[in-house]
Amino acid sequence: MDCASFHDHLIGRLYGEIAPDDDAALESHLGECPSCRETLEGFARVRSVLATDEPAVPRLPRVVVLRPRARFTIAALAASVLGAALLAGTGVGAGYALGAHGRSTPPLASNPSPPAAATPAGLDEATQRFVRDEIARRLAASQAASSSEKPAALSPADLQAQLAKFERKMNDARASDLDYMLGQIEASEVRTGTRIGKTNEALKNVALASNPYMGSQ
Amino acid sequence: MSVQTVQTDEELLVALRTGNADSLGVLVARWEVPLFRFVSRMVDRPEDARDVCQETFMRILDKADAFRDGARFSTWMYQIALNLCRDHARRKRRWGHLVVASSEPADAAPREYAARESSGSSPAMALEESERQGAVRRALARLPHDQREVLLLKEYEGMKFREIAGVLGIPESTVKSRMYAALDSMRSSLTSLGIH
Repeated sequence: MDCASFHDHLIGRLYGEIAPDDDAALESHLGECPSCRETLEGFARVRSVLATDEPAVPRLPRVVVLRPRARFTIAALAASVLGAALLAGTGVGAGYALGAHGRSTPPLASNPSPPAAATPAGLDEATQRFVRDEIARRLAASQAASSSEKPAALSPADLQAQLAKFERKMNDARASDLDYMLGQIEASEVRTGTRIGKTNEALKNVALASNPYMGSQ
Repeated sequence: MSVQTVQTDEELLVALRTGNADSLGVLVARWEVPLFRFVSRMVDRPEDARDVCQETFMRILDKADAFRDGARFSTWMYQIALNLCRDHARRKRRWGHLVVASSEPADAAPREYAARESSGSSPAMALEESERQGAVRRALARLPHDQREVLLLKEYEGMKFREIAGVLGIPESTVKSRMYAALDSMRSSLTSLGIH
């Protein structure tokens, strides 16, 4: 048998995961193959270096933000209601409730209704109250409906929740891509010592438009 | 004296499926450190590792119903995390080439660029690392993705080859082949970096 046929056995021996028969066959091969003996010793040295000089790991950030289990009802409703709030032009502070990833959904392009009559100072509070009331109302309606019988067709609220979920995913992917691209540009700048300048600024603006949390990173 | 029973990961996931959100908190507390350690070695930047870990737990929450009875939670969790790491690597390749095209000389090879980029680290991390640790990190970063996965799961997560095969969905013999190739590459890289 050639050396390649003993590669699996050699790895098995190195990690103590080898059948006795295979180990005996390997031992026999090692007795007559200096090359495989050297490989085994070299791999053992690599393992030793990996153990003694394990690369540093950055400190674990406490950033895991978890949605409640009932997100499919309450959170989906919240998304739907917030979508409506945004459409109504009162959704300035709405993004935080949507952001399972700490990112928010930008306002939708269409804006068919005029803004609600709220003062700029009271806008956040008004939006939050509106959202809370709407969630409670729709949740109660949803629970009442589900306790009697399930609707056969997708309700407008469900459809809107699905759309909001899809949009969130799209925004997350876009923000993630932009975040990554900015990191690459900055790395290039550090490495080359040349500022990309305008391009970088333009990209940051695009990123900020997409994700208001980018500026604080 | 009261006897406290410790729930297994799988029991916690079953509880999660039945609506007990607290059980996810226990799973996160149990796995966030090893998962972050693993992911931070698969991706280049700590913030990317943070995002991948967060998304992994989100997917566990989203797809708890899809968890097969009899399967191991950790295997499933690492599968999700690895898929996300691969997505990240694909995205990196896509944007990496774009940035190379705009900032590198025309004759610079994207592969070299990627290797240099992935071997870089933040100054803060460099300060905390010894020269030898830095060399090991650079040697790991040079490994092809599939070999690095196997080596990290084996050396730093302490999995059996059978378990790694389960995580990656490949035969155990393939895991060992990749491990052989990874150790061979590491041996050459460490030698070239002056680590013996």
